[in-house]
Formats: sequence, structure tokens, C-alpha cells
Amino acid sequence: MSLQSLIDDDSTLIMVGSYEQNRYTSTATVIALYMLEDDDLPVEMSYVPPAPQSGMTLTEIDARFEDGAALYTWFYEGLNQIFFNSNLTTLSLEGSLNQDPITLHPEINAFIAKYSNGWSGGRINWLRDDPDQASGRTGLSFSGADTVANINPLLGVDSYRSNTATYSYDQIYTKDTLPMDLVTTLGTISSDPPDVTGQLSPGNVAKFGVRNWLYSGVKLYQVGPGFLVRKSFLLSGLGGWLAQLYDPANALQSSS
Amino acid sequence: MPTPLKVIGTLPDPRLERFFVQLPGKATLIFVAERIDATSDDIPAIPPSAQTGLLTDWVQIRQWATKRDGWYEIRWLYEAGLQEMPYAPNDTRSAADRNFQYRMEASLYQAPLTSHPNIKNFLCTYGGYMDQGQLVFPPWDPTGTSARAGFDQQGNYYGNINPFYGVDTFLSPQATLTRTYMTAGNELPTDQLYGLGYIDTPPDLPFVVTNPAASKTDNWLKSEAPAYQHGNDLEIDEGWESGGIGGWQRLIYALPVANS
Repeated sequence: MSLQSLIDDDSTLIMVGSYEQNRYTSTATVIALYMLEDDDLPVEMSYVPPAPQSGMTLTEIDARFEDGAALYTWFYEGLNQIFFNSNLTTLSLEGSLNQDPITLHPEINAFIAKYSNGWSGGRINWLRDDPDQASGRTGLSFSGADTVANINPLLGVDSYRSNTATYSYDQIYTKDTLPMDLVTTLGTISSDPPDVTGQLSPGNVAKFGVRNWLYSGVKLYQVGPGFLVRKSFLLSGLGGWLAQLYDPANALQSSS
Repeated sequence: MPTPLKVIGTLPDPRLERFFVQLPGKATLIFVAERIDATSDDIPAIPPSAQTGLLTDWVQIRQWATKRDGWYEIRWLYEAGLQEMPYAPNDTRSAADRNFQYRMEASLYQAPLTSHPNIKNFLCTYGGYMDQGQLVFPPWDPTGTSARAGFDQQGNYYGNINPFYGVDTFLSPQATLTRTYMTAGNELPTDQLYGLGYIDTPPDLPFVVTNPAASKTDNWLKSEAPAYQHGNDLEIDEGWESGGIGGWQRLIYALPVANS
């Protein structure tokens, strides 16, 4: 007697299941319990009950036999259809600070014009006093003998803390919806991810500088019948990624 | 439907305790029996109930352990690879999509700027030249369009410094692709090893992965070929690496043509 005929004959003592949905996938189990009255009951690995939800695929079978009973469990995995149909993404953002030379500051030319008397030996010769006499900072003179009120706020500054960030997001696809440019656009300046938080909006340029994102990595994992894709992006320093190297119109194009 | 695999395994002693099947088609069965005051002669090589039902390519592993009061617990663990992973009747995927598991990762690495396909244009536009094997760009910007400021090595300040000044690398994409499947018997596929280290085309991909650097679908290097035995069958992993800019050097990595 086969497993199929047992089910057809309604000889199964109990057939239950579970269904769970997480952000990306749905998982389900079908559990069947049989009493084994016949020593010749064949144990079939090829029999699989229909998946509880269309689009789910079998990932594992586990059958245990104890005290004349057989407990079969079939495990299925599918895509979270709500998440998939809505093209939803899950983002993560990590921001931190780099120690950058002050010469990379977007206002460096203005700083030099106003707060220095030029440069020499690779260093900017910062003035001692604040030209506006409004810094509100007090410090020592170059000789150390005097206290200077309203000292130049940039005196002694040769670096500053510049922000950087990595951004990644997850999205699920079927074989047919997987983007064709998943890998080909890698290493290019990207408008993806969309500026979801407005961090790079023109209104923020004054505070944030001109920056953009480099599409820096992608990982693809098979989940059930589809794929989980994680794309990563790297925030540029001030001035943006070098367009000559990373602009999609320039990057990786043959010069011949 | 896959070919049914059957074992007769419900005799009380030894009895079938468990079986499980995992992707990409690894099947395992466990029989168990108990004996009291057993010697090695008392431990049967093959559970009687298993002898008639198991296919010939199953491999047996026997384990035993002592229990309390002189009882021995003996386990027979059978492994085999299923050429076709069982699937639900409402699974509409093709056999190839069901039986292969894929994984891909792509990232960026520091490549020499000299390998960039536009290097000639960069040299012409930004005044670059080669000096004793080193790529050199002047600090001034010949185009006068740079919005970047900085110092040169002599400490001279440039409000519009050459964007390529000091640049000798760039971030270039690379990708790795692997697929896993089961194969019959314990003999490796004939092409498992000989293609290792040569330009290859990953077969039967369920998605389009164009080599990011070379813009060629065929310019991948076969880079991994591990195989793991499960029963008498093999779990095969295959891995490919995408080429850098311009793809893999065919002079070095093209598969040699066999002499007839």
C-alpha cells in the first residue's frame, strides 16, 4: 500500500500543517501521522503532498517511525507574495565618519581666501586672528606668550570629520522578474537606492555636500522558487565619485 | 514525477527509525535495533528489513553504542543522492530549476587604473603619462573644470586640482557564481576538473548574469570544483569568477584545444 493510496483511502489518522510568513518568504509544513499495521508499508520519498500555497517548493522531507506509527513532515518554502507583489524593500543604513584632509572640504577655497595668507610646504598658513573678530574662541598666540581673543577658528586645523555611509536593501524576485542589470551596473554611480530619506536632496547639498552613491555589491540567494537579492551602495566623499571612472556613461566602456 | 524510491523498513527489529531528504537531493535513512549482551558477531551487517528494498547505490554506515544494563543500540545509516529532488505536484518549475541551487555574490576590488578601458582617453584629456612604469598625472587640471581642491607633493595648493592626480587604482566589479546539484554514482562528471582555471560558460542559468566587467556572457573562469560524497553519489559544487576589465585573458585562460 502506498502513501498516496493511504491518503486517498482516508486512512491517515491526522494530517495537519503550519504556515508562517516572514518578511521575504513564506514557509509551510504538512504533517501526516499514520499507524503502521502492515509491515510491508513502503516508505516513499517521491510522494509529496501539494504545497499549501501555489508557488511554494519542497525543501525537505523528514519521516520518523516510532511505536508502530509514522510521522511524515514535508517542508515548503515560497516567496512572501505581499512583499513580492508590492516591490517592497528592506533597507539598512550605516553612517560613520572619516578623517579627511581639510583640503577636501567643499568650502576650502573660501576658507583659504578668508582665513589664511596662503600656503607653503603643503600646509595652509592660517591667520592667527579671526578676520571677523567674532569666533568667540580664545587661544594662545603662536609664541604662547599671549592669550588671543577671537582666535581664527581654523588655526591648526588640517583635517575634519567627514561623513560616509553604506546603504543596502533586500528585495525578492522570481526568475522572471530578476533585473537584467543586476551585475552589469556594478561599480557605477547609481540613483538606486532612491533617496528615500531625502539625505541627498538638493536642499541638503549645503549641509551634506555634493555626494552620490556607488553601486558596490550584490548577493543573490535562492529561496524557494525565487531569489533574495541584497544590493549594497557606498556613499561618496564630498564632490561625488569621480565621474570619469564611475559614471555609467563612462565606466567600463571600451575605448575602442 | 520522479522515479519512486522505496524501501521496506517497518519490521520491528531492526526497524526504520527515520528518513529525511534535503536539497539538492540528499537522502538519508536510519535503521535501529537493540541487543542485550551483544558481541560483534551479533551485530548484523545489514538490517534484514533493508536488504530487499534498498537500491544498490545506497551506502551504509553502521554505528553502535552501549546503553544501560548491557543493552547495545545499533544504527544503520544509509545515504544516497536523488538525481531528482522530490517536488510538490503544484510546483511548476522546470527540472533544471528544481535540481540546481544557485548563489551569487558580486563586489568591487581595487584594480590598477592602467587596466581601465578608457585609460587612453584619461591620459590624453588629463595629461597623464607613464614614467618608469608608473602612471603619473600632473596636479593641474588641463580641462580647467575640476571642482576639487588639494595639494601636490611639493605642497603647492590647487583650487582646481587634476581629478586623476595621485589616482592609480579604481574600483572594478567582480562576481562569483556557484551552483550545487547531485550526480549519479561516485564518478566525477568528466568536465568537473579539466575546465578548472579556464574560461568557461556557466550552463543553464535560471537568470541572466552578464559579466560585469567584460560585458560578455561567456567570459567567466571556472574557479571551484568541490565534490562531496553522499551515499554512492556526489554533491557537486561548481563555481565561476567573472573576469576583470576586458575579461579573462584568453591567451592565458582559454581552454587548450586537444591534439587529435
